Amino acid sequence: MPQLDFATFPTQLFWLLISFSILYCIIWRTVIPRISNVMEERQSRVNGDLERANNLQAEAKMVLNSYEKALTDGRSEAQNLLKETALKIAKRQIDQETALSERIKQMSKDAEARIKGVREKAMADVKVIAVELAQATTAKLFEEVSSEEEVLNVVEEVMEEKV
Amino acid sequence: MAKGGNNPLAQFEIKELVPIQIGDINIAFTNSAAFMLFAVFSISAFLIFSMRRSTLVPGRWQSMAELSYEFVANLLRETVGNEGRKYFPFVFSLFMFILFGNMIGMIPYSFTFTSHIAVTFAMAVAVFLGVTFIGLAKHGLHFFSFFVPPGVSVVLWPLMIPIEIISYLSRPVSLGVRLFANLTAGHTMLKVFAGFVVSLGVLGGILPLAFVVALTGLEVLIAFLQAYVFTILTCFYINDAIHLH
Repeated sequence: MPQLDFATFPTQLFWLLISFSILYCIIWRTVIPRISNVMEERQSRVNGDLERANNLQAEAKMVLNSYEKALTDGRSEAQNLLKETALKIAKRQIDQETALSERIKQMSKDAEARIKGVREKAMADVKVIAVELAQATTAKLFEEVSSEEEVLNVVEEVMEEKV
Repeated sequence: MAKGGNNPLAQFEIKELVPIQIGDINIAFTNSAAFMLFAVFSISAFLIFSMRRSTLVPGRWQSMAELSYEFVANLLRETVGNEGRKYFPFVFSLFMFILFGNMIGMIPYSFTFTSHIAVTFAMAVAVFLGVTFIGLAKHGLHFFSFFVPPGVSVVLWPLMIPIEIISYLSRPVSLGVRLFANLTAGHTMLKVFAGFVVSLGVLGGILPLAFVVALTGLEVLIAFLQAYVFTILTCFYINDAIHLH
């Protein structure tokens, strides 16, 4: 078995020492600082990104909250406005209705007054016509002209009875 | 088995490439040394070139380098905790060295320097001595309380303390032999079955060929697993030295 050939041990140990020392120095001085630098940099970058993401999330939450608040505020305001307007409209309606009914009442009153006036005038006219007619009739029938006052009295008497 | 190419142990032979002699000691540059330096070169190339244009979002090569770094870093953090950070360069070098030694050994006609007991045992002894030194430096004489198992009555101490000391001293042996034995056995078995493919001919060789393919997959797994085991046991030993019980 070549492994148990003790004559080869010194050279193996010597070259093991040499090569392992070289490797150790290279790894210790060059490789490890390089790799650990890169990994540290990455770690800090990842941490920074995470922190930024958290901040942004908090900000987004805040914006969302304020947006929701504005929305509810707007909604309640709109509701209030709607209510107010409805009240106003109702009030105006009532006002207008009362005004209108007042006007109608006034108008009907005027109309009644006018009708009364016309009726009275018509009555007076009727009286005059009746007097004239009575005078004319009596003149024709009895060939005598009765005085206007007499006829008027009779007509008034008759009209009092009829009406 | 015949000599030379068909000998399944021939792959472990150490061949001198450049003879070097210091005094009585032969420290020739061998195929083993060449593959050790090749492993060091491959690891350095992999880890340095993949991190050359390092970006925040890693590419494939950078990802692999970072993955191996984090793999060992997590191993150390989980077993030892934050006090283990000091030893990370050593543990990381150890893991990469064994892993690349094992993996390069899986390439046909290459040499597996981790299949030599001299190399694995030397690494295990280095870990053992280093860990013992850390324990002594950190706890002073109190370190020897490590050999007294907690919650055991004084009556049993004469029995338990020798057992603990033996188990502590056998750590480098088991650590070194485990890696050496796994790789030697695996590579030998691969070679034996590969020899069957040749000797059984075209028809009869299909079965051993399929077996060799499956075995190669298993050996790649073992190559990784043994590097992992060596590293995690080193982490455990460091943890014991720092925290005692």
